[in-house]
Amino acid sequence: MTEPLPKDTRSTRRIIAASLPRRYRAEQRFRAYGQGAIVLAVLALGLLLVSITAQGFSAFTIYRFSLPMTVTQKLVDPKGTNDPKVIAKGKYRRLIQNTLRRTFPDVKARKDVRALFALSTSLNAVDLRNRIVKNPALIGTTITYTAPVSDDLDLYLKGLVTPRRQLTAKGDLRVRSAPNGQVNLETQDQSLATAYHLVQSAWQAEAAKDKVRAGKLRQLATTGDPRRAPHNTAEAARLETRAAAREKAAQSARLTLSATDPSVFVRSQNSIIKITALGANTAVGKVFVQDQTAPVQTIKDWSVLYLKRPEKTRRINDRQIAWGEALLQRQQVKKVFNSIFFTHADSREPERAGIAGAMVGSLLTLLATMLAAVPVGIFAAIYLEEFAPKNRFTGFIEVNINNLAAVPSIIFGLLGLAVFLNVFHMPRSAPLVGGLVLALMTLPVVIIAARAAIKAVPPSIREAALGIGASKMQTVFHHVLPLAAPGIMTGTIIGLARALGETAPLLMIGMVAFIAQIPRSITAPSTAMPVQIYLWASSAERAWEARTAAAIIVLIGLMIALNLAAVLLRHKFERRW
Amino acid sequence: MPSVFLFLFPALVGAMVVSFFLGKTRALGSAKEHPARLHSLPGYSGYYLAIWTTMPALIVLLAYVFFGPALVAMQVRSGLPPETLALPVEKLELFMRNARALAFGGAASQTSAALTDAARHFTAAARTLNMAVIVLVAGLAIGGFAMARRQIAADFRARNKVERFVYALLLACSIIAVLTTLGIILSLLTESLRFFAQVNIIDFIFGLKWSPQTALRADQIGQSGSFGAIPLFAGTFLITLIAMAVAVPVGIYAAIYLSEYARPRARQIIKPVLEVLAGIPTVVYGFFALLTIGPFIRQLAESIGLGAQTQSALSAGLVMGIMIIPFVSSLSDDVINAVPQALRDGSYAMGATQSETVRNIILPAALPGIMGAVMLAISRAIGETMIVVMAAGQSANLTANPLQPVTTVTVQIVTLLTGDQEFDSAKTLAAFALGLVLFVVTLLLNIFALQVVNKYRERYD
Repeated sequence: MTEPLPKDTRSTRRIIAASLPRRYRAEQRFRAYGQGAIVLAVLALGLLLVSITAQGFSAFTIYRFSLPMTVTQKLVDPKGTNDPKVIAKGKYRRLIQNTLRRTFPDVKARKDVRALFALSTSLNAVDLRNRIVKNPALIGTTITYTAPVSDDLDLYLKGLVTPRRQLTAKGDLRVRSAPNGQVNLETQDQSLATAYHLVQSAWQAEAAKDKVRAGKLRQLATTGDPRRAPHNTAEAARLETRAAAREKAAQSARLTLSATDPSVFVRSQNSIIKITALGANTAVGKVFVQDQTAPVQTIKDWSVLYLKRPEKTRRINDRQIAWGEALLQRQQVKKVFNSIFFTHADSREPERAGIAGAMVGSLLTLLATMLAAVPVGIFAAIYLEEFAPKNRFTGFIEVNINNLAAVPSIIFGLLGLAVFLNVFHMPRSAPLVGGLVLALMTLPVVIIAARAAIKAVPPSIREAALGIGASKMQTVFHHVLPLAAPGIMTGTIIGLARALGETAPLLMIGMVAFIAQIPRSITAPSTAMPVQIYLWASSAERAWEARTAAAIIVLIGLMIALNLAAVLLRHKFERRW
Repeated sequence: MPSVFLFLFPALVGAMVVSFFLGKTRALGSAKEHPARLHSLPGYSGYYLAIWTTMPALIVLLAYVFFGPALVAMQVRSGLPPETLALPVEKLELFMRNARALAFGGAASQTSAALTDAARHFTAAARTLNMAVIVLVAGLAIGGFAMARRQIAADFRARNKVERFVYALLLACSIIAVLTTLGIILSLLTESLRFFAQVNIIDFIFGLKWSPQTALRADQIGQSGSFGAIPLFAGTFLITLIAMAVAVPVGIYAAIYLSEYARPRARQIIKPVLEVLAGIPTVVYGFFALLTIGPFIRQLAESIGLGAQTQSALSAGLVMGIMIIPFVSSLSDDVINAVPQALRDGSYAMGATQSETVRNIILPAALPGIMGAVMLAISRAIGETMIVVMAAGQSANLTANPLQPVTTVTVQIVTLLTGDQEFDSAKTLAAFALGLVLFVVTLLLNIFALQVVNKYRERYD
């Protein structure tokens, strides 16, 4: 028997039914927000990791010279004493400079010679000296000089300085010498024409950009601050003239290239010519690198190199690029694994800088942290969990520990500065002090983890031990602690991993100094990995960027290893009661 | 580390091992063929002897390590000629540093007759102290050994004594946490008081201009240095606001999704991934903000016609927000999970959809806990250092424009204390005053947040 529903109930049903699609849509939306939040967070993590990996990857390789070098006795040990003290004072910088000059004998102008020497930092002389002092028999012989190339050349060769196009030619190239060291080039091949069009379109793009900016300025002159209007109008006019000149120049049959334009080179087996004026089939250039000279040559195997970024806006000039290309072609510069990065301490020159010093500093600091924080933390946890009477003092200690866990890390740095350095006169910048400061910071983490682990041991274990006559102390140390050990270790390792990545407190106690040696003791001045990252990140030169990211990769790798160890430990020893 | 320590510490460790075995043997010997007659296991007698042999000596040795350098400096200072003592404080500090460097082999920035003299005093005082410590440590070790060895007998209650010592040790370790807090408060307070003796506290808290350059020479113009901290507070507030605008919605929605919608397997994967965000060192976030987010924001702003710089409140705040997401999400997740299932079931039985249940039942019930989580996150954001040092800039702008560089309390602490510093200048002391403000604010936030969370917990457990 079915009773008809009362009328008002039916209308309620109808209302509900009518509202259902809206409510379901709201449900869908809400769910999407949740998913969106998670996707956003995961994407941010992904972006962070990907961008750092992408930036840091190039720092794991480096371009290195391998040049034949004659170790002339006159420069190293002129009197032939064979005394290590005399040899240590030899003129190794000159030796390196002579080697470079011999590699490019036609470099004469003073400015160019200096640019050539800049390809190998003078700090490289230190390695050379150590090598010769260690093995004086090398004096007078010819050795292979290996050293990193300058960071600018390294970046260029890695393709990080400028977009670069190489156009391989097939037809012949006729080269005729002209006065003033210039050469005239002529070819029917398309590659020269392609370069011509590339420069042309680059100029046109520049002109278009100028016009857009001029337009904006003109608009600003009418709408914006009237006092700035004359200035804006003048600037707009200047840009428009420049754009017009550029556009006109781009139409001419021969483009004159200056230092503010893209660079074009013509390279063959044994020479590199910098183009100064470029037509579709002809060009005028300067010989930058040449092995043999002949007034007229026909070259078959050649290519055109187009570098988009103008010489004026980069740190490496066209000649240095030409030398670099030549060295690479002659295999006198090779790409190798960047072992310097892992064996050297910090340096003023990026190509000679490494993380070994910071790594040792971090390990020493972490050692001090571990030795201080782990025993104290575990003992404190045992006391609070097993012995402490329930009174106000115990409660006070607990509140204290919880609050310490949330104190900003920089405050611990201030404490270290005021107490360890200024009251106790401990050495500045030392891993010992850094370790102690980080230990105070890690202590609450260790205590909280250890307490949780001790609490997880079931009371039956304690009762059994007490029941067969063990004292309270014996119960704790013989039975409870071994069972809680895996949990304590896991928590401790996670705490130490956090201490490894901590920077701010170390800045306060002076671990930010530039330190070019690997620290040898726990009181020697040193840095730590995160501080090294901070120091490099605030350096201006472009080459530091990749090294910073590479150091981050290493640091994160270390932290992942530590955390993984903690997870494995937990899985291996975890017991559920 | 003083070489005396490097020589005495291993010696003490050796003495500890030897005395342990000696004590054990003596206990066994005293039992005369009947080990069962011993009150304690023989090992406890060994421990007892080892403790008495090494612990008093070790305490002296540690005191020497911590207080020795200060003691030597005090001794030297009392022997200085009056004209050196009359130097201004920072000059005197420099003098002492140079003298120490001369005495113990370091890089001294200058030399003079007075310095060489002081250096000689340094060497002499250090030698006297070293000799005293060696004699004292040796005496304590031998005396303790002799005294404890005499006590060891068959009915000696060695275990109880050793256990009492261990108990004291455990208690001492748990008091270290209290001492740390005390040390923080004392060091911040004393230095801040010295700062407020030089700078009016009202000017500090309500001043609008922050330029902490102090005079190198007394007659320099425009050197007084102004310490108005409002621009720093404003910068901190702006960046915290931006960070919270990112972290709170994302964190709470993520927590809701994880606890109410996600399948257990998805939850198992996503939760650790989110927590990785909290484990990444902050200096890495700083680098990311400086080199990826900063330039990106600048380009974006310029393309829509706004002036912007690479270092800005926005880039620092955004990245900090990302870092803080897991703090909000995992704490909120906990409180949402703690809401009793009965409340949910009741809501479903009334015909509410899942999202209506979350919005109308679960969130109100979990609100105090979520508020606590947000407050903890705010305290975290205020105290965060590296991201802002690298990405927010150093100029003390008083601005609400997130595209401008601003500076924060933590940034200024770092700027004031890195590089050369004289310990008594107002510039250095200002860092401690800022530290005190930071400590008090974060402490209040934490205490308040913990109270809110605890109060909430009591209601449903």
